[in-house]
This record gives sequence, structure tokens and C-alpha cells, in this order.
Amino acid sequence: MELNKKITPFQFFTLLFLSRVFAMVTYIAGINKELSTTDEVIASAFTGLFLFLSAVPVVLFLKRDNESGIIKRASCLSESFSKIICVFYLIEALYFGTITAVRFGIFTGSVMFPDTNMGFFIFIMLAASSYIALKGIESAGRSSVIILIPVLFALIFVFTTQSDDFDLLNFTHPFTDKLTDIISSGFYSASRTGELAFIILLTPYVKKLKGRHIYLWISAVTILILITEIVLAGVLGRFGGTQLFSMYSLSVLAEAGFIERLDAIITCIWLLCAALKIAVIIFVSEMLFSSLFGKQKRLLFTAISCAVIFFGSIPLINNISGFISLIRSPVHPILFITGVCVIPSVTMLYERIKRRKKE
Amino acid sequence: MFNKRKKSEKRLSEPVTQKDNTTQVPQGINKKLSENIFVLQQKFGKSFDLIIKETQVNGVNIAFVALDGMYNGLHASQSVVEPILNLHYPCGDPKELYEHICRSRASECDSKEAITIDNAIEFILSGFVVLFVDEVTVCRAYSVQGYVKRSVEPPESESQENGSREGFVDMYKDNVTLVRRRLKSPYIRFETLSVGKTSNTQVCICYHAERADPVIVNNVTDRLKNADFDIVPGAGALRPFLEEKRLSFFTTVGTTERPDVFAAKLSEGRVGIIVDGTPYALIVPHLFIENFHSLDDYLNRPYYAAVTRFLKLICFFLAVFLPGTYVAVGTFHQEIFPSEIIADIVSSLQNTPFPLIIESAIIHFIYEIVREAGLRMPKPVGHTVSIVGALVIGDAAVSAGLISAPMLIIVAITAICSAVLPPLHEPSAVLRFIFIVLGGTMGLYGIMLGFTIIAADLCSMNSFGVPFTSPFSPLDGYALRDSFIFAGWKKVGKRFIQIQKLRGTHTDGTE
Repeated sequence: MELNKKITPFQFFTLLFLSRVFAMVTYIAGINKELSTTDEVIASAFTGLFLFLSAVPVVLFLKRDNESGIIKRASCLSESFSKIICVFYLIEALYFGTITAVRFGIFTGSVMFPDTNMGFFIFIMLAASSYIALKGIESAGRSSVIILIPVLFALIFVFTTQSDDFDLLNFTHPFTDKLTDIISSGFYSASRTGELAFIILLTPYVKKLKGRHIYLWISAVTILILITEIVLAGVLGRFGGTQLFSMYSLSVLAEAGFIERLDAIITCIWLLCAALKIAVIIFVSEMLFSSLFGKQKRLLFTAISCAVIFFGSIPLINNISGFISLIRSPVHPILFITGVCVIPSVTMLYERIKRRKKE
Repeated sequence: MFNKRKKSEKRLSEPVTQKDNTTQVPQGINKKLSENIFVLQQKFGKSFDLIIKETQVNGVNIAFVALDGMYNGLHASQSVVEPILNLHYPCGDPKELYEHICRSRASECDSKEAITIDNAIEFILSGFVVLFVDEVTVCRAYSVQGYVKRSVEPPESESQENGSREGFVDMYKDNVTLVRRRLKSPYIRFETLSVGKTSNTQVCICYHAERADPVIVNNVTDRLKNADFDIVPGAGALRPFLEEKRLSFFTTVGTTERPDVFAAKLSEGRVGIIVDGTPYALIVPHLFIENFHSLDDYLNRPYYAAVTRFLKLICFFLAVFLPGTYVAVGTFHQEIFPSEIIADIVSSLQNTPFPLIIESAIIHFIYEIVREAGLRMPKPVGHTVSIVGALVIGDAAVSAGLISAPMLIIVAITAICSAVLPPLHEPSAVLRFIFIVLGGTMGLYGIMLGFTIIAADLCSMNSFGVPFTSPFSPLDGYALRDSFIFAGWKKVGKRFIQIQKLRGTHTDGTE
């Protein structure tokens, strides 16, 4: 049965928070320009700053109307404009979905089950995520609150059990690297937050969405990234930069009493976030497909979204260097800026012009 | 294929005696007594228990009709038959006589009028003694039921340490009395309806008129009215009609055998359904968290209630996930085992012929067989089955090297944990096998993926518009006081909770 009721801002931002957690725990070293440990922390602060700044158009967009999403508002202006926006966000959603699936595939295939078919794991994950997406945003929103508990517990466990290994000597002198490199690293990291674009798309599904909710979410994400970077720098030092997944390396070191290896459990808990993240992306894609074709064929559109993500990820999972160069390419920032800043601003401007014309 | 299925369904459900397709008009009561008796004899056929006593009162032909064993003979004789037979009303007009009987005599017991034959048959089948008078087109049904019934006994499946010793019985009217005694309020409503074409089972819908949401009450009534049934073997048969139309391991309809629990739920604005012939009642809306609640939690100290509830939650997780997790860890992630015991576990696993997944599936399968046998067999034999099962599986299988000792410990823990939560036994028994397969094929990753799907499934469920996972998701601060913790009567008892007011509820009929 469809459950497309409105969810609370808390559920919505928990969903987006978990989505960002997955991006954080599967951060692949080498995606950004390699920085010294302290500069990585500074770059994280810049990430937060860029997120705050890029959220301004989104907040302004919601200030005017927090009931209808960007697609509906665009369709009120012009049908063709709405279609163009739909196509753009659909490409963005499927792109982010593919990137997430590849990250997941590489993570499971390299650290959890080496020498196994990564495509199989992606396929299973897509099937589970499609199931959640078909249950509706309400189901995903409610699940996120439940899943948040073990995820936070796992993160706190990893952070707190490293206190003995935390060494201030691992921190380098600030600004060892060029400021431009630090800023660009922070910006690239912020551009991987595709969730900001989902806010204006999923507005109709959230009750009384306000700007302060967005800023609270960005604050939570920034704090988490900062804590992670500080712990990574303090515990792993420069060794972290040599690891494919530095958060995984950190989890390997976590132990509880007589149980010395808990990384398998911790990483599995983190993978819960992947299921939700892909579910949200599939839900958004399905919603955009429906808007584009004006038909409510949920099963078909979900299947198409899954197929695109699956077949898009297959060539990339066996070619990590190609995947890294794709992420390093300007595709990410372009999609991010266009989706979060340009389109909402243009829509608001268009609305203003149309209103003035009427007056 | 579908046509074949439909044909098969039609063939199986076709009545033996063909009825004409014309719409049946309710048959009125005939003026002639002999005609009415003939119709009744036709309807009941050669049933030995149909009693028809024809006699005369002041020259007017009358007949008492009842079913043997369904009425109280002494009561019927003293309150109905004797007063009518001893009546002196020499007017000679049957209608006046009937009026006189209704007005003056035999009024000690409750009586109702029937205007159609079907109506009269319904009364007869319910244990009434029905009086037919010649030349009168109505009949009188006297409530003198007296069939064999079970007395009120302590509830078997919900025994409590400190609670009442009264449990529901099979007779719905007795159950209504048990609830009435606990809720002495005129706002408690008991409305009955008849369900089942053949069984005509009385179903009683109970609710608090001031607290229950009328939309939920109407929704329940409509669903039961529209339930296409031939016979209602028990309350459980109504459950699918009250659940959402979807596949799920969990039910959104609660059950209880205790009138005190039932009364408490009604006071929270829920709707209860008592079915005649079933010693337990259904309750909607039902939340997932309620599976972990028991009456003792409310009667013990709050801290202890919190401990027992957490214990039950842990038991549920162990019952569902422990075997699968053990298989996953033993197959894919042995590094999780503490270094002190890993050698022992690995050596015991190597001594068994089957892979861990097969070994686990077999042992749990055998456990379910033993459990089922113990449940269905007569009690003395059931004990024997348990002992034999425990000895054979527990000792002999390990000695023979068929099953590893750690696996036996896992089965024992799982079995004990699943016994802690009887309401969740069904889903935990099935999910256990699913997680064994997931853990054995995909390791902990499979377990987590399964957990996500189960969580999403639970979160997508609504019980009459109330989120099944409430008050956790959507979070409801006030209702959390009686969730996995119990804040105590001083805090919880101040105000009552209305179930339909929980956050995220939409009782507008769209689920």
C-alpha cells in the first residue's frame, strides 16, 4: 500500500544525515588532493562553510513556499521549463545513485568480501533499496530514525575506543599546504553532498520544512565530518592517507574488551545507511520520472532507475582509477552548483518576473 | 492457469443442493401453525435435537420450538412453559391470547419478537425457546439459553504474577460481563453483528464512546460487515480482514486473553472485538511495542518494568538474529570470535559433516518439530517428546558428531528467548530461518540487509492509521513514558493516552 504521507523534518533530515554518513564512511582516500592531517581538518571546516553558503538559495526558495517542490513550482511557470528541470535532476539523481552504488561495491568488494563479485552485492542492495523506495518516503523516514541509533552507536564506539591511540603528534602544522588546495578540497567535499538538491525536490513530502532545519542538518553533518577528520588525523596520522578507506582502517583498530575485531559488525551497520541513501535516490528518480511522463507507474519507474544505476555502476566497479578520475572531474561540482544554486535561483527569478508582469 | 484456479474454486464452493437464482424474500410467519411447523421441519431436516411441542391453551393451538441442549430445561419450564400452560384467559381469540401472554405472563425472562421464519430460526439456533401461536403472524422468543460452557478460569497464555486470575471464556456474553465489571462507565459500548453465512457467529465490537475515534470504530464495523465468510472458526479468522491488505511477518491486530488488559486498551481509545466461541479478544489499533508489554509491568515497580521490557527486546533480537549471526560469523567473519575461544569453536565446527548453514537449518528445523509435537500432543506424551527430543538431539547428536556443541547452545538460547515473547513467536520462528540463509550466503552484510528490510517493512505498517512503530518513529515524547520504559503510575496515570492522537496518525481511511 502506498505510504506517501508527509514525514516530519526530523525524519527527513535523519534520512539525509544517514545518507551523508555513508558518503563519509566510504570516503576514498585519493579522491581529493592529498593534504597534511591538520589541513584535512581545516578543509572539513571549509566543507561546512561551503555547505552553509550553498544552502542559502535553497533556504530562500523554501521561505517563499515550503509546501510545493521545485518541480511543481516550475510547472506553474512553464511546462517546458519544468521538464528541463526534471531531466536535469533525474540525471543528477541517477548519477549520485551510480556513484553511491559504486562506492558501496568497492567497499564491500575490497574490505568485506575480497575476491567476490561486487556486481552481485550491488544488485542485492538495489533490490533492498527498491523495496524500501516502493514502500514510500514515510517508510524510509521512519526507518531512518530506527537505523540512526545503531549507526550513531557504531560511530561513537569507533571514536571513543580510539582515545588511547590518539596522538597530538600526528597533527601537522596548519596551512602546510596551499590555501587554495585546502579550499578546493573543502569545496569538492561539499559538492559530494547531493542531498541538498533533494531537499527542494522532496519538499512536498515534508511537514513545515524551514530554513533552520536545513542549517541544523548542515551543522550536524559538519560536526560529524570534523570529528571524523580529527579522530582520523589523531589516530591514523599520515597512515590514513595511504588507506583506500580510512574510516574502515579506524574501525579495524576498535576493540571491546576480549573481542578484538569488531570491524565487520561496525561496517555492516554503516552499510544500513547505503540502503537508505539508495532508496531515497530511487524514490526521487521515480518521482521525477512520474513528473516527466505524467504517469504514476511506480514499479516500472523504480525498475528503470535501478537498471540505470546497476548498469552504470558495473563498468566503474572494476576500474577504481577511472572512478576516482570521474569524481575528481568537474561533473560533481557542476551538478551540485546547478542543482543547489542555479536552478532554485533561476526559478525564483522567473517567478518574480512573472509576478511583476502580472502586476 | 487462472481460469483453472477459478473453476476449481467454483467447483469446491458450489452448494450440494442447488438454490434458484431468484432473490430470496424473507419468509413471513404463516397464520397456520401447522404450516410454520412444516417449514421448520423442512429447514432442520432430520435433526434429532429439534424439539417441537404442540399443545393447546384455552382452546388455541400453540407450539414451543427449541433445540435440545441449547436451553436450560428447568428455567424454560418454570419461567415459560408452565406459566403459559396454566394460563386462564377464556377469550378464545388467538391474537388476544398472544398479546396477553406477552403482556402479563412469562415475563420473568427476557423475550423478543420474531416476524419472519428466518428470524425465528436464528433465535432457535441461539438457544431461545420460541412460542408459535395459531392464527398469529409473529412469534415470541424467550431467552432461556443454557448450554454447556466453560467457567471463568485463569488465562493460560498470559499468566501474570500479580494480575487477576480471570481470563476470557468462550461465551461472548460472559466476556462482555468480565469487561463491564472492570469499566463501570456508560460510555463503554458493546455492539454486536453476525458474521458468517453458515455459522452466524456473534461478533461484539467494544469501544469507549468518548475516547475511541469514530472513524476507526466505523472502519472496524464496515470491514467485519463486509468480511466474506462462511464459518468463523475463531477470532483469528477475522484478523486478515482487520489487517492491511499486504504481506508482512507482523500483525497489526493485537490479541489478549485477559479482560483487565482488554479493559485498559479500551480506555486508551482502542476498539476491541470479542468473538463468540473464542476465549481471547482482538484489539485494534495495535502497536509493535505492545508485544513487549505485560500486565505485570504496570503492577511492579517501574524500574523493574523497564528491565523486563529491555530483557524481552533483547530476547526478541536473540531469537531472530542469533542463529543467523552465528552462521554468518562462523562462515565469513571468524575474526570476531574472541581469540581465547576461537580454537575450540573452529575445532568443533570442523568435526561436524555439514556446513554451518545446513547444520543450523537442520537443528532449528528439528527444534520446531519437537516444539510443535510437544504443543499438539496430549500433555503427558508432550513431556515425553520433549525429553526424548532433548536427549536425542542434545546428547546423542553431539556425541555422534552430527552437530557441534556451540550450535546446540545457540539453539537452546534461541528456544528460550523465543518462549519469552509468545505474541512474536510466529514471526521470529520464520525470520530465524531467513536470517540463517542470509547469514550463510552473505555474512553479516546479509543480516544487516535483512534487518533493513524488516525495519522498513515495520515502519511502513499502519494499524488503522496509527503508525505501527509509534511512539519511536514517529517520535512521541509523552507516549515514550510507556514504551520500553514505564515511568510509573504517578506520571503515566495522570492522563490517559488516546491511541489516535499519537504522532503520525492519519485515521482518514487512507493508510
